[in-house]
This record gives sequence, structure tokens and C-alpha cells, in this order.
Amino acid sequence: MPKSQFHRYLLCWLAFGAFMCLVPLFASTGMVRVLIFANFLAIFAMSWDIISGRTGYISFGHPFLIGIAGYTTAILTRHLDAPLYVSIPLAILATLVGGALFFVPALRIRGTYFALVTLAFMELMYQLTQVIAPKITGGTRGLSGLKTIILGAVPNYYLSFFVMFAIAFCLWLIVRTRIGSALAAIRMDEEAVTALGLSTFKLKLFAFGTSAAVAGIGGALYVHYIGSIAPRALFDINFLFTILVAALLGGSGTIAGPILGAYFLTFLLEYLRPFLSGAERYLIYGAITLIVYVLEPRGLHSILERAYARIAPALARGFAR
Amino acid sequence: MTALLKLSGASKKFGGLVAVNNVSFGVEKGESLGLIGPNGAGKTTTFSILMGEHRPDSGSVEFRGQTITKVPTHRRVQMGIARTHQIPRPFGEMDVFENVRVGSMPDSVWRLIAEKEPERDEWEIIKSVGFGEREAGMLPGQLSMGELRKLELARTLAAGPEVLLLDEVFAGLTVGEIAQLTDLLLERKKLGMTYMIVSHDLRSLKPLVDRVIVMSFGSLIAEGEFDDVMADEGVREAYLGQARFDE
Repeated sequence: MPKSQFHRYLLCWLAFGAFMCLVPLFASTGMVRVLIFANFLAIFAMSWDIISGRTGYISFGHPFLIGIAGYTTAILTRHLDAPLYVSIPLAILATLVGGALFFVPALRIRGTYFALVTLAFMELMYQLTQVIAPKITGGTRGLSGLKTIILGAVPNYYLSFFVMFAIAFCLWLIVRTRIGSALAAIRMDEEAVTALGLSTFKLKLFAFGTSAAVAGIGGALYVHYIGSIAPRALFDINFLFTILVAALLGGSGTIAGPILGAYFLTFLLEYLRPFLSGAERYLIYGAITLIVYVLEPRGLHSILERAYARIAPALARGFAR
Repeated sequence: MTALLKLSGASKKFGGLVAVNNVSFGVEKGESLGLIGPNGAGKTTTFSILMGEHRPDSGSVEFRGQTITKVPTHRRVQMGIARTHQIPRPFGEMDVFENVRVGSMPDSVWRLIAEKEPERDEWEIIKSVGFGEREAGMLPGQLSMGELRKLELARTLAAGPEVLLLDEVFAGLTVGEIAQLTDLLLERKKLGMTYMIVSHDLRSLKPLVDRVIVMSFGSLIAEGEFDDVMADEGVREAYLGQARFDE
């Protein structure tokens, strides 16, 4: 990446961070709560995008990873009264183990088959929590009354935002190195990558591990924000598709894209609520998503980049005057 | 002299089809070996066996005296063997420069992230195959077949091979481009690079190779210097049919 482009992106990140820090000063509590959900969705969408957007291994089972983190910390705090500073790191470690399990099929299969196997992982987790160990997991009802990290909308907003921002910034720093190109090359032609002397095993292991770690952080913090965990909500196909659509709509294969998508989707669903309180709003959300995707398959990120490319020369002329 | 890269008694079947049948040959350091034969003779499969993309049903592959039959492809590339493909396989969303950059990457996640990118000779390689600055910024979808072959070659050269297996590298190139590539390959040969070249373009192949081996229906049927092999009646019949090969 050229230095000027790096500085431009860095400036965008800093401006975004600064603006979002000021949001609670003028936003209502309701909007702040909506933004908290958007931040968590952005974390999950970024996690999905590391595997699917970068390497092209489409995962339909991401709630499996989020669920491992959520259930691990929920069980540890609820049944063993473990403090959060112990349960959350352990939950992230457990998710890394889950990520390794997720990685096994990627050694042999890809495409539709890989997507279906990952969907089976999610279903397996759903059954595991409900049928096999209901006493530990709370069965269908899940676990509620979990410890919260901090109280209040604004502190939780800052917590969720800083975690999301830190993850996004670190990922951006990582993918702008050569590993970003190597992972993208896997998506384009995995065999050609091997033919150039690179171990796709190592590269995919890194992508899956990073994705699992991010899902683990998001999942563990999320359950302690909402104070409960229930299999029906977590291993729900709507939840899965919200993650996927956020990443795809925002701009798959980018870092800013999943964040944009997550914010766009969360606000869209929230602002449709007064007009359409039931499941009908998903129809509108689906239609809008489809229109954006048809108009620009590379997502909102690409639309913004093109807009910037158009206005940048005019802005530069304005500053010059 | 000991062969740098050696194939011994290699056979490979795909279902009932014998693609490679008990083939043995070696290529010495600094040598340039042509591998010719009619379509379906098993030349590309032989390359795939040498690269570890296909495991032979029997036989072995040796490199620098070490058996590498079970060594995976990416390790063979790191050891110094690389190939181009008959059908170019560029990374479609990356420009020419980025494609070549991937070819020169180290096989270490840590080094890819933490190490400052060394001042490599990607530009030199890109220029050496005949690309200019304009082409370096182009996507593979904007390139002609000949340019795609040059990109494939540049990307493979970036991996720094000691032995280079070129599969139909001249197909789709203009006369001028073939001359340019020939010069490049001869120049690299002077520097000690070892080649194996599969080509149907015998005129272009001739000045490049020290020796030729001929395959037909998976078997090796002749081996020797270019003119001697071309004069062989068995080769003419198998490779050229009834037509004569005129200089």
C-alpha cells in the first residue's frame, strides 16, 4: 500500500474513532443501545469475513464459534462463580479450540460442501446445548441473570465500541501487510498459491484462528452485556444471515465493510420497527439489501470509495484556493 | 554426472487410463531439457508428478539426490522446483505487480506480517518478461493470452526456482514475444538455471534445449539431441503422424 494511501486510511480510522467517541454526547439512550448492538454485529461480521471474505471459505456456522465463547463464560460464571477476568479469556481460548475443529474440514473440502459442514457444526452445538447437557447449559431456556461487565448504556457503548475499534484497527494493520494478499490469493486460486511455495495450511490456520479469536471476544462480551444466553436466539438462521449480510452488504474482503454493513443493517431494522413491528420488516430489509447488492456487489464500502474518488479532486481544489 | 532432478520408473493411472507408464529420466544442473509428444502423451502429468501435484502410483522423484516423492508441492517449490501451467492461473483480482509479489512471499505467517518487505526484484522480473509500468498495474482480465503466459512466467520466476518446468510457455505468444522470452530463458540458463520445457512449438524449442525426450501414450519413446530425435522414424510417426518435420 502506498504511504499516502496508508495515511489517508489512518486518518479515516482516527476520524471515525473520534466521531464515535462523541456520539453519546448528542445521541439518545435508545440510539446508544442500538449502536451497542451494531458494534457487536460488526465484531461478528469481521470475524466471519476473515474466513469467508478473505480466504473464500464460506462459513454458515459462525454462531457455533460465538456460542462456544458465550456458553463457556456463561457456564463458568454461573455454575463455578468464576470472575469475568478468568471466564472471558478462557472462553476465548475455548473458541480457539472450536476454531481448530472448524478448520479440519477446510483441509479437504471447500465451496458449498464446506458451507454445509459448517452449518452442521452450528446444528450440532444447538443440539448439544439443548439435548445432551441441558443441566449445564440451561437447555432450551438457556442461562440468564449472568454477571454484567459494567452497568449503563453509555459505559457499555464505550466498551463495545473500543473493543470493536481495537479489533478492526488491528485487523487492518495485519491485512495491509503481505498476509492480506496471501489470504486473498487463496480465495482466488488456492492451488496456484501452493504452486508458488506457500503453505495454504499455515495461512488458513492463521485465518481460522484469528476469526475464532475475534468471534470469541465478541461472543463472550455479548452474553455479559445482554445478561443471558439462549440457544434459540444464538443458533438461529436469522442471526447467522444477519452476520453474513452485514459483511456482504458492507463490503466483503475489507475491514471497514463489515462495520458499515453492521451499522447500516442495525439502524435499518431499528428504524423500520415503528412502521413494521413484525417479521415484515425483514422483507423490506431483504429488498434493500438485494437492491444495494445488485447495484454494487462489492458493497457499501465500494460505493463510498467511489464517492470519495469523485469528490476528492474537488475538495483538494477547494483547499488549494 | 548426477541428475539434479530425476524421475525413476514413474507410473500414473487415472481410472483405466495410463497417463504415465514407467517413465525414467533426469535433468542435470544447468541443463535444458525439452519434453515433447502429441496431445495426451502424458507430458503435463509428468510435470505434475515432478511437482507433487499428483502422487505417482509407482516410481520415485529425486531432487539433489534426495527422494522427494512424498514431499508436498509447496515444499518442493521452496527446495527450488517450480512450474508454469499450460492454462495460466493468475490471481484474477490482483494486478500484475501484486501477482508477482505473491510469488516472492516467504512461507511464514510471522514473516509475512512482521517483516519489513524487502526490496525485491519484482520490477526486474516484470520488465524481463516484457511488461512495462502500464501492464504492471493491469488486472489479468485485461491481458491477452500471451501476456497471461508472461505473467505466469514472471510470477513463477519470483519464487526463485533452481529448476523451472515450463508447460507450453510459447502458446499464444507473438513471434516477437517468443524471441524476447527465448532471450530471457537463455540469459537465465547462462546464470545456471535448469529447465524442462514442454512445447508443441518445436521451432521455438530447438534453440533452447540441450536434449529432448519424447513421450507417446504415457511412455518415453526417444531421448537425445534435438536433431537426432527429430530424425527418428518412431518419433516422426508418433509425434508428427505422416507429415514431415521440415526445418
